[in-house]
Amino acid sequence: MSRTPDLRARAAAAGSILASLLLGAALLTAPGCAPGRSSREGKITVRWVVDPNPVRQDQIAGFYRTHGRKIEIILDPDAGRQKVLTQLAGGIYPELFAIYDPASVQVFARKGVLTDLRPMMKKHGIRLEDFWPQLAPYMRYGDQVVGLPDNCGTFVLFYNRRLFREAGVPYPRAGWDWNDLLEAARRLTRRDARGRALQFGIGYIEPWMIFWQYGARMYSDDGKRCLLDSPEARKAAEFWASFRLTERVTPSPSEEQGLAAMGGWGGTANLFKAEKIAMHIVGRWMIVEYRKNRKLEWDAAPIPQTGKVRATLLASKVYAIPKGNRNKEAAFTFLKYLMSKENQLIVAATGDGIPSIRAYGESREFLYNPDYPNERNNRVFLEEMRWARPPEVSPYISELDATAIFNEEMDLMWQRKQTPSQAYERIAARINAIIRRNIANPNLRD
Amino acid sequence: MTRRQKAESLAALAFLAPNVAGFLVFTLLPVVGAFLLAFTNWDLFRPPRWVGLFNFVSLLGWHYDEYAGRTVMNDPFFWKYVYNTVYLMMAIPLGIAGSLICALLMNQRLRGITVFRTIYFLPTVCSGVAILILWKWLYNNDIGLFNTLIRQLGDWIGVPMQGPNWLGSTEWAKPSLMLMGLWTGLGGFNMILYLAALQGVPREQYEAAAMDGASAWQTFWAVTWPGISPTTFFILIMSVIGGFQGGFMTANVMTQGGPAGSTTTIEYYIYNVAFTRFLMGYASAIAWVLFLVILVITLLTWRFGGRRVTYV
Amino acid sequence: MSDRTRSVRRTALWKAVLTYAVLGLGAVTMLVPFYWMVLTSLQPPEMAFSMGQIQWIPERIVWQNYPAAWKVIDIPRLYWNSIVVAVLGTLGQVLTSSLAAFAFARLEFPGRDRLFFAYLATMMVPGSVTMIPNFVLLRWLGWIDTYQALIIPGMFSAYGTFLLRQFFMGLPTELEDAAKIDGSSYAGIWARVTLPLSRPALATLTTFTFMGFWGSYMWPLIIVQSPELRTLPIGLASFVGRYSAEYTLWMAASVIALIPVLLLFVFNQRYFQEGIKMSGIKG
Repeated sequence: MSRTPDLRARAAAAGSILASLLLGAALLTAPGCAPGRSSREGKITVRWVVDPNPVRQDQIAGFYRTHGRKIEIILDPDAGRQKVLTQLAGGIYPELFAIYDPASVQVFARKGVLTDLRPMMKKHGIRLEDFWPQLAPYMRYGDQVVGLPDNCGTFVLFYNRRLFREAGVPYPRAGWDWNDLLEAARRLTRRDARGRALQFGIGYIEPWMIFWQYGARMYSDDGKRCLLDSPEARKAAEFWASFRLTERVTPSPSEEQGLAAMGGWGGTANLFKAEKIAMHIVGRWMIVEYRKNRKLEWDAAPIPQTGKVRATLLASKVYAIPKGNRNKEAAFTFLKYLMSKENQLIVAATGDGIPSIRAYGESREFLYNPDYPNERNNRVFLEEMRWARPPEVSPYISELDATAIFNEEMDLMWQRKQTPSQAYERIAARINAIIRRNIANPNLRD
Repeated sequence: MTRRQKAESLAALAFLAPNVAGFLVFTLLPVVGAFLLAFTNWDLFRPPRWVGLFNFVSLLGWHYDEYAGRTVMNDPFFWKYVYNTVYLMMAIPLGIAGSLICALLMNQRLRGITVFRTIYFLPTVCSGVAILILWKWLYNNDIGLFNTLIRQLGDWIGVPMQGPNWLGSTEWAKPSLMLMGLWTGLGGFNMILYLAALQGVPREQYEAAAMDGASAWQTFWAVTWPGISPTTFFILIMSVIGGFQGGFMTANVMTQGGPAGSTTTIEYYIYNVAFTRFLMGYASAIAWVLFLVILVITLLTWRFGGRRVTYV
Repeated sequence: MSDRTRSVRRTALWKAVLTYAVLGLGAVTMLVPFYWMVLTSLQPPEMAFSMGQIQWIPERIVWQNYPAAWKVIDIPRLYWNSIVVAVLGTLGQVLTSSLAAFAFARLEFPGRDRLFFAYLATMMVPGSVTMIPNFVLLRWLGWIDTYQALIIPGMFSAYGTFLLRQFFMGLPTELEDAAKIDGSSYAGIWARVTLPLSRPALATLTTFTFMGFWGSYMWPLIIVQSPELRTLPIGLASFVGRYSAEYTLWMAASVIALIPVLLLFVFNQRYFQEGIKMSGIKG
């Protein structure tokens, strides 16, 4: 009797350990369980990580029309840079993903996760020279080509013809300068008896355009110094901020929310669509939203210029293929389709920017869209590309830090705790401090 | 070892195996890993690089900046976030007092008291993202409940009033979060713990106090407060430990750490450094410093607070 | 009735009135936000922006926000994921913890106390310390963006072992000794004697572990990459992020998310409150 518990105990121990080991082994070698993870036999899937613009479905349909359905495209709509980086860090490699600014392209490329697309471009006959040269910061990392764009857009001045007519203000046109704009905005801003705003002259303006036109730059050419404390930059800042602070022709964020109709894709754009704001400086992609309101009589003009330096803001996105992905041929087949005239015209026809390949933009199909005969101004967008610049970036500071500093100081400025001039000086001081540290300590850099 | 002892040890092994295996793999191993990580510079993509104490110096040290003409901290963001975290923790005594008052009120045998208990516990039950969303909406500057009520009040009395920009101004953001925290936690776990503790204070002490002619106020401080001190101590320690580690969900869902970084806590900073900036070594270093701070504060609270706890 | 009794009665009456008043005020404060939530969810989207008066009783009730939120946010999927993760995780935690706690409480073996101390020590380590190495580990295992990643690492918290060990140690040993004399194995004792006696503690642990998995946010945030795997907190937060100004939808989605939890609570109050008392006293 004294032996049985002993044997029993041993058996139990052995059994438990064995069971744990087996369970552990089974768990470790089992494929990750997740919904939607079943492998499809014979089909290659291309996961396309991009923003959920409704036109994506049309693009996919166009691909299936020309290529059949051997390759299946799955749309993954959460396209933020941080999300994608986390996926790549976690060992999940989508076939194709979108990058929305040159700084992010640099971040991805420096981490060594982007495929050099030049060999495949050569094989499939896609030439770098066909693209707008202004897009180079989005596409290139050193000598490599790491991303291909299918559209791009400059910022233009959209205005509401009806509101202008009713207020008796002449329409914006080429040759306007910013004071003309300000004057028009003043006349188009209306408030009720209690001082609450009913209509605003112009929506939020990206600061880049104004201060480039004043001759200011954010960074020096080598990126080693932030130049926002220069006299031109500070003058530009004072002018730019006055739209909201002193002239009050631009709503504050909470005023925007107070006026807002439905949400969705961009706050100011919806206010423009709802005819609560008379002018809006934004990229051509907003036409997608504006077309939804058939009563809206919108038109576009070039953005005002100071006459000193001609500049406007460029926006684009590129598609990149991660190095760790195993379906690169399929991914590039789809990418090649995205570079085709058919796809770029589908996208441009919805109003989402202009084609990234110059020839397509010059084509008749782009300039005259029979579905929207009142849109006579497509040429404006092409012309503005001549002086379009993407946002500035320095290799010596992560633009996350720069943006955080910028936003913090801007918040204080909007709360009237410092003047725009002071804000820009502080931004420059803080950014320069970080740049100096990063130059001295390579360990600190991303 | 005797045969019996051996049998027992083997049995223990059998019982412990699954839990200890998991503990080793998912707790102990990562702790060691985090310790090593803190001395490296790694972004999960390129190979890790050993940098020794560099991360800690970057985090806690200072340097002289010739252009600014003075000594500055190496990571000014960190110290700001420490300030935010500690500031938010100032709501803890208020919360404990509030829960105690609620418990005292609910400790009476009145009809319908359990209904109140249920109502007060509702925010805790629902707590999580849904409550954060609700409060984000309540705090909306133009059309949220609070500012609309304030504006209506102003209309009613004829003096135009405007509520503060709760989540949008740097002064009000943290107090707003503290207020929300109070609402969520008032009738929650702490109150239930206090209720139980109150019922554990022996009646004889109350009767003795009554016979000595003590007033309600005196009775509270002489009998009730010492009687529930173990619970107070427990709640305090748990709140401090939780407070240092908190604020992530709030920042992520409600404020994105803003405005101007005024609601970013240490935990949110760690997450951002790790999964937005991909500086794994630096994030681990911050996490370790946080752990040390929690450890030291807890030990101090234990040492000094423990003396004031009276056990019945 | 003597004067003394009357004045005592009167003090008691005043106390009661005061108590009801204060508690009542507090209760209103607790409930108003919830009412506001439901109110907003039933309003048409444009009305939420009228900067006018609050209508405490709405003129029009609009139900469309609910189907809209339901469709966009894919509530069934979110609930399913949260349930799978919470149920399996809780089961695993309670099972492995009770086994280990039994060993710590009832069995003698070399290194027992030192191992237990190691458990306790790790309880103090904040989650952010182990979050990054766990991510790396799971990447190596290929478990990023899988159910395993959400369930298994969370199963091994030392808290459960600690709680149950304390409880087991407080149980009388007579029944266990009797079972031992009858020739029962340790496993038998564990299953047939200890566990049934530990119902309150097990209920507490189950409740807390379940709530922990259900409300877990930071870990799923870094693990979940595909929308199909999202748990409820993540899905809700990302919904609000995407529809940044549609407050009526926010409230509808929140109501939908909260109703099952509320129902569960109202019908199971007792367990909650017992459980909390239990964890507090032993802590």
